[in-house]
Amino acid sequence: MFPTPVTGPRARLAYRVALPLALILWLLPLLGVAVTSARPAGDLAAGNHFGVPSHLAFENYAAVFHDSPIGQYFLNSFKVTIPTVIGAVALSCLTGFAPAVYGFRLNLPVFFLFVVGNFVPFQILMVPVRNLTLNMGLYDTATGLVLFHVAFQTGFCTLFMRNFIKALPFELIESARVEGVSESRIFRFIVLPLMRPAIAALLVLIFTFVWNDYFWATVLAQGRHALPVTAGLYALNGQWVAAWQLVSAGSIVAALPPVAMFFLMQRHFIAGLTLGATKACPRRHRDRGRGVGLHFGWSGGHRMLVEELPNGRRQVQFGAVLAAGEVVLDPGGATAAPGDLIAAFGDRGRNGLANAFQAAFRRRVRFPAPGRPRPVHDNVWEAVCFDHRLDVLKDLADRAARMGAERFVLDDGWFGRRDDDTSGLGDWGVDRRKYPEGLSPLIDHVEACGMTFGLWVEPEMVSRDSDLARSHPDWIIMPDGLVPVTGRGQHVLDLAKPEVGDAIFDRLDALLAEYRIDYLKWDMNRDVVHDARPTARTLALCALLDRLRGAHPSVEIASCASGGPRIDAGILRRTHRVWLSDSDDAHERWRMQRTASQFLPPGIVGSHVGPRRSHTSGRVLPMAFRAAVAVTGHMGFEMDIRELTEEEGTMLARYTTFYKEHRAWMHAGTQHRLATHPDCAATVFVSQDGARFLAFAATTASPLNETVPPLRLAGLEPDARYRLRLLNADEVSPRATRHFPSPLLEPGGLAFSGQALMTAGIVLPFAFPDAMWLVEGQAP
Amino acid sequence: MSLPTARGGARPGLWRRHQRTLAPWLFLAPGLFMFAVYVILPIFQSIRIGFHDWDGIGTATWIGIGNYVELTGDDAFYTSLYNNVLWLVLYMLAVPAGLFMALFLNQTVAGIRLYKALFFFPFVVGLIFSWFYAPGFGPFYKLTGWLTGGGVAVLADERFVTYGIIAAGLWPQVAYCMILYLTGLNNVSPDQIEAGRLDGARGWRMLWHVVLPQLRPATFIAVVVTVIGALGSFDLVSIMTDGGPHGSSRVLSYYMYEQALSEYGFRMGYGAAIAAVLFLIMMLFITGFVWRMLRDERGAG
Repeated sequence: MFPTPVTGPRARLAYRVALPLALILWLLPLLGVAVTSARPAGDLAAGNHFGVPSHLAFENYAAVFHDSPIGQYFLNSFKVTIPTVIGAVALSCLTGFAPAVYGFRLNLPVFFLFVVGNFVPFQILMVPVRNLTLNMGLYDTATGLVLFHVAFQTGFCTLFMRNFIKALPFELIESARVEGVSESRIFRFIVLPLMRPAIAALLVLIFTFVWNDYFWATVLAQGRHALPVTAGLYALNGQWVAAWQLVSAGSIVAALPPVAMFFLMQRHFIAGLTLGATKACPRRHRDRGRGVGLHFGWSGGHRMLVEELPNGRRQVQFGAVLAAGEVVLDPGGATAAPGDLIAAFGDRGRNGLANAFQAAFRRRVRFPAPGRPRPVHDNVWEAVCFDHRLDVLKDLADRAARMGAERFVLDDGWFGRRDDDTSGLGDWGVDRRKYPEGLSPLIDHVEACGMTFGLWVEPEMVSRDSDLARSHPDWIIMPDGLVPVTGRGQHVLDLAKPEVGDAIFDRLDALLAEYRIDYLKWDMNRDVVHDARPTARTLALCALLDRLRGAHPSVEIASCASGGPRIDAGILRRTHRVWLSDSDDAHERWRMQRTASQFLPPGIVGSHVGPRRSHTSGRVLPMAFRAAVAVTGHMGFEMDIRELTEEEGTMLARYTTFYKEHRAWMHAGTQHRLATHPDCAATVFVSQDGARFLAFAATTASPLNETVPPLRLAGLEPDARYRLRLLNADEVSPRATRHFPSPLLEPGGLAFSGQALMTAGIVLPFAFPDAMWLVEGQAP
Repeated sequence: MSLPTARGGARPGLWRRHQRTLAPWLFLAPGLFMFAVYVILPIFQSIRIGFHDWDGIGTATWIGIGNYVELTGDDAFYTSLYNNVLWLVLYMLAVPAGLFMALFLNQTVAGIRLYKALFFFPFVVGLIFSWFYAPGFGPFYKLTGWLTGGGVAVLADERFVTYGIIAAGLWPQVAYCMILYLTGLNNVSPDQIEAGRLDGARGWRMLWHVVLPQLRPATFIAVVVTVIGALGSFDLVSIMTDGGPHGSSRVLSYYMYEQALSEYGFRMGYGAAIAAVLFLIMMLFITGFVWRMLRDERGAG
């Protein structure tokens, strides 16, 4: 908007004072008239032209209407103006349509004719038009005036309408023609509805023009039965010599209708008077474009099918896979297909679909305590693996709490005789060699540090080397006559057998009853093969989870499935968090998390700060980058916290604090991936009310050029003005500040409209690779 | 085996075949007819009458360029022409003034809609300025009396009368231009404003280099309506002074009216000749406008 909107209480106050003052000054002559119109005749006779009226003589208004034909004149004005407005606007809708839409040969000459006629000094028409009207016997009638005004105003209206229609998207008309729609229907059903703002604008303009006409009124009329109020008033002026109070009252009355019309139609008027301004074409990006998205919420075997049938129809099918013989139906019997299909449709591109999916997932996840913000996890796996020692774990808990962790998660290795990954799965009792007094001393310590306690389990699995496998070898999925296949050295329990589910429930139930555990990391580390009843097993898993949640409603469960075969809307009705991958490389996590955001809301995606040197990629990454990536999901630490240098520790604590400050609105708002270039990948989080946003822009490689293209945001309120702040400005590399000052580095920050940030974008300061800029925007 | 013929015969009807050629003319027909009868034809008739001596009732006598020859020696004509030029020059002030007011009002505070409507008020009031100037008690008379010791009866003074009427005319014209610019400002791209702001443009430089170029359509229309208004000025002259005192505030359109229709006149031919001169002056502007409009459009297309 130009000029800049006045902001700040003092400037606004000043403006509010200046506005009426300017208005009074501007309307001074009019105010004088208004006061005079309410002045008793006696005052004027006594020479009191400017003083306070001796009393408010509204009787002047009564007198004007009572003692003069002004009422009749007024009526005449309406009789002339209203038919003219309707006639001219209706005609010009037609005449404007033709030169705007058709490329006929005489297009330009015809249009030129209207323009010339429109600009012509209308006095040149006076003599012939007067004769024409006389000859038609319409002299001194409202009809004569109306006919002329309609014809004359058609020139201006045609110019106006033609330019308006010309600015409409021509594809609309073309596509209708392709469909064989007749020209008259194109006009009626496509163009006319779009012309509403132009029509409204013309109504006001023509009303004012015709109402104010004085010249033609004197040329084409003379009697009181046809004279409109402008000319009538002048005629009265002659009678009312020096009766200024009456002239004034009459003027005021005569001026009111157009002002009222303008006030009532202002909104449409301004919108319609676009003067043929061209509109910017919408850019194609991931926030625009129609799309359909489908998600099948089912954690078992399934099939997705998209195909074109021989008859030309296309079909999409999603369904759980039933193994041969898994369900046997009696004749006429039926079975219900399990699974939860979510279908999204929208025209706001992939981000629009992502918003819909995230909302759908959010509705399905039922947290034990919905108001509880997602706590910062510390997972000790990377620090200790299977080597559990109480003193080490306590030390880790102390350090984690100092970094800001709120939940301490004890991973694999605490149960059975689990010294490596070949044994112990299935024996869900605490390993007394490692924990002679059980888990309580550790849990007590963790809670003393201000954290809650979470525990790793993998209940659907069993190790060959385990008491469970030895006592119930038949619980392992093992098809007849085949050798069971291992994955990661482990076997899958046949949950479809009721006794298996019961046994697992009993053990987990006992654990949860004995210890204060508020979180289970439910792992599932291998694919299932040779399963004779895949659907029944999945239904049994759902039932088991439901039963556990029923017995321990305060426990959160994570569906931790490396590689992600068990991340779906079905399992998330029973669980509260997912773990995308064991990759602890921040670059890879950033890519995965951005991709997962197509479906998953950030609050349920585990997002942990990995070790300095990634175990999965060998890459060494700075703490700031690792931590910033972690902030974009449900944050946690997944490294040996003892390796942190003091600097890294400070940085991590800073980002953890930042996460806690912002998680509530980030997890409730929307998330939009931004169109970026190969060396920069960005996402913006926008709060539910649109009043704030947080953009994360990762520089993944050295940019090819010294400056990077502006980052265009998405999902903002176009009209809101956001004050921008680069939150980690202290991480600006020295080279950038020297050569390319970014507007983001201005002290105090700059404010821009959402529209500008979405279409023009913001230029980020130069960054070295492995850096993440955090840009905050807040609308006042 | 024979193919079934389409319903309605093998050939589509005349209308179906020529729909797209005929449609524009059907859309144009009613408006074009009215416009031709009331605007286009009268222009030519008027030019024709200009070559005649005619009182409007009796028979017209062809006198060739007699009326025009007479005009060259008519002092009243020169006065009117001079006043029209004065109008044209001074009336142009309405354009920047309207822009200034639009900039002032282009804010969002409570009640701004009402303010905009009230600022639009003068657009519809003309008569009251005669009261403003009225000798003896008019506010302007009082003001000049207070400043100089002797009040100036503007409308009765040959030196000031045209300026006085132009000032009165400017009042509604500024309001009109303001409305056009308010609309234009509505369409100014916020992106470009913010981009300019990013590059450090502020205030005057922003207005000149970023905003005004985008307001060109509004400026174009504002100039057009102001030129038309200045050359066609009639109402105020008629209402406030009837061309007086001693014909000193006449403009061409008023002089023409006087010659052709008022109690002095019924010299239709002479009036039409004056109108033709006015039309000629106007054609200069019209040609310029249309040329520019088409050029802009071609540039945009």
